[in-house]
Amino acid sequence: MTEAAHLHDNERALALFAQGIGGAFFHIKSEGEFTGGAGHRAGRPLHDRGVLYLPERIERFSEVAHNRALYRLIALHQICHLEFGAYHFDIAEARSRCAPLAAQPLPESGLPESDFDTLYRHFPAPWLARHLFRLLEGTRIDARMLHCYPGIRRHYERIAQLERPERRPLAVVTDLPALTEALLRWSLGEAADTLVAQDATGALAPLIAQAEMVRAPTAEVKTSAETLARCYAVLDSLGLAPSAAGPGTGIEAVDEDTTAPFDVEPVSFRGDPPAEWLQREERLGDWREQQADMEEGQMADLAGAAAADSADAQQLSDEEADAAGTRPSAADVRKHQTERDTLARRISIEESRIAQALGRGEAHRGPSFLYDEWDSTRGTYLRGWCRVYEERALDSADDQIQAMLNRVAPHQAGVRRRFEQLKPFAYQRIHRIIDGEDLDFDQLVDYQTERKRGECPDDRVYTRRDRLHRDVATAFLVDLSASTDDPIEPPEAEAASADLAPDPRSLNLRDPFDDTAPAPAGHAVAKDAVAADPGSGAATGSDEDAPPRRVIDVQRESLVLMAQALETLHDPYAIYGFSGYGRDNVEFYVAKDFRDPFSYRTLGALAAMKPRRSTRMGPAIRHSIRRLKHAASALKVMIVISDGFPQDCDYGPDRSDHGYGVEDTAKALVEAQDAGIGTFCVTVDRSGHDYLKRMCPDARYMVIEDIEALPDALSKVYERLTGR
Amino acid sequence: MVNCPSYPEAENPGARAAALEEGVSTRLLIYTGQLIAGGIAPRRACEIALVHAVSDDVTAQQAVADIVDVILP
Repeated sequence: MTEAAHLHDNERALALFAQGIGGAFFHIKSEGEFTGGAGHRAGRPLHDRGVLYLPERIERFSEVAHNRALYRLIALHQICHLEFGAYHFDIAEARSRCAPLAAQPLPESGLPESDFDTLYRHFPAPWLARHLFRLLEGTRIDARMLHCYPGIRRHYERIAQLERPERRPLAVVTDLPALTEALLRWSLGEAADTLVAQDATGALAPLIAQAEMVRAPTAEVKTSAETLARCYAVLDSLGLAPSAAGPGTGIEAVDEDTTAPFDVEPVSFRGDPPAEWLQREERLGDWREQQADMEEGQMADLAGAAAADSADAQQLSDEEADAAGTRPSAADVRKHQTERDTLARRISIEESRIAQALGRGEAHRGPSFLYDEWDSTRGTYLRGWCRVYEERALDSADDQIQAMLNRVAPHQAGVRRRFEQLKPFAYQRIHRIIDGEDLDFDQLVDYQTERKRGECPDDRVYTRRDRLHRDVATAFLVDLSASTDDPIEPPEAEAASADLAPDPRSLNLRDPFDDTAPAPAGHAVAKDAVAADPGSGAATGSDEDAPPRRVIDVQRESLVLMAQALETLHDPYAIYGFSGYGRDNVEFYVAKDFRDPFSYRTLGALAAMKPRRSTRMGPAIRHSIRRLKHAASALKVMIVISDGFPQDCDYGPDRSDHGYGVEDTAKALVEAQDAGIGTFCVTVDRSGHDYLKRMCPDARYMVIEDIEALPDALSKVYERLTGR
Repeated sequence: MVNCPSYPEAENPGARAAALEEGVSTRLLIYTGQLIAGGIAPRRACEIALVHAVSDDVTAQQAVADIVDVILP
């Protein structure tokens, strides 16, 4: 009976393994998640920039440990393409090294293509060249991998032994398909003598002799290209290579394996990386360098023109200035400008072609994590269902930060005072005291020893536990869904009372951010700066032209207040935001992590929190649990701040039914409790009772009628959760 | 180890924090070397002085063990 290894169970270990080997973070995704075309056929491992696409499950071996080892082998083979420069290929350099290639004119397809495609077109049957080249490159990568990572050899040999009998039977080698199969078997470690004995064409022995070159420990991709030319010459000399008039000699033949007259059965663990597109991306790097050089040249032109102008100012003639080489001609400047613009357009077009071919969606700079989701309709977890991308929140402009600070300045002192009254929490054992709840046996032994010696003993032999310092870590998880862009609607009754009683003091009691409140000394509110922030206009407002205050404004200002207050307590805390769209794209923004100091950068990250898309709350809570687990505090608390029910485009079978999202969020909150993390949900949605009571116990949530009361509510919640 | 300068993730603090954030200190490497010099088999020495010492996280330990597994003959 076989025991399968599943990708979602091994995703984190594989991501860390890949990072350790590759020196960069790799997202681990299943093969089915590759949405690009790129001539890739489904069900084969591959890699893209920063992504490894691996099988959803592996059950080739009966032991799960061997199946896990196969995951590592596949991942390592993919990473080794990058490590051993599989895409660092330049056709001009290859031609200069290889006489058979240089002997032919450089093929022109008239279409944008990779240098690999150009290489294949040097031969009458490009599809055969592509088959051979991939086989040789696979062999080269294997050889270098086994040389640099010798520990993988036993796993490699185990899978190679399993792979060979599973391939199509090879009796007598009489034609080209059998010949390529024999060469591939040799590349998997089958004895050359055995294979040559089966060969009736006489080509296998010279082919293997040539292919040995790619097994050298220093072989590079150009070695594979050179070996390809030699192997093709062997086939050609024996009349085994197809003629130019044969099938699959056109442009399509390079791009599509399907037009080739026969297919080479792939080696499962080598996969099928989109080499041609990745080489085009590597070439983009060269183009960008060229673009940077051109820009430098243009700057030199400008500097030259400036120098010439200066010469003019010194009454030198144009001829003298030109003779000194300081003034570039107008024609030169125009030519450089045109070349630079052309290259920039070329880079842009190539980037979008590559992105489309490789199915790249939004660029995520941070790592990703897979999480299960609770499927309430079936009463089971969907394993590895959601992918959370973790990103650092960006900085903001100084004026936005200043506007935010100005908004919160009048309220800092009050919130801080409340926090200073919080009692210490953690216990610490105090030794060497004259009375206490326990005896300190070390001290007691010393006491008796000294007494027996006739010395004057220290009689402080007691110990007790005291509450000395707080030991609380808190994560604030903020909903950044699109609805937080909504303007704040003041409660009708209060708005009416405000109309009836325009006394500023009564407004201040209701609205902690009311700008009419007298600011404390040293905290003068800069009205201009406030108006400069599009999101911080006063709803209570003196300035009717200012944009209305939004939910997100109050959320982030509340967090600034909380952060400033928590600094006085020295409690570690983190501030995260979440949003996203779809189960594969849950976004988790880190504005401040536990280890980050509170700094101007933190303020910038908070000011940069913006309304985004949906509210898939379950995976965001699960990711916060992961982060909190790493916090070394006795008490761990998660406070979720939202403005509505959990919702996403595919959060449950029926988009209009929010029950699925509510149930998943409830389950995630239970998981947090099970992990020893106290949770609390604060919502500014007035209909929040409807779903919050299904998500958590009554004592674990709060619905705020007036959003402006959020900072006050957060302070109370924090005090209640951590104060005793 | 692959040098991937074109990969922005390598510079991303979030990426670093999420993974092998502690790294393997020189001290641990020296301990490992001392064990090997003292006659302990390299794999066993790495297991004792690196894998179990590098992190409390079982997944991180597994990943380091996997890296050791592919590097050592």
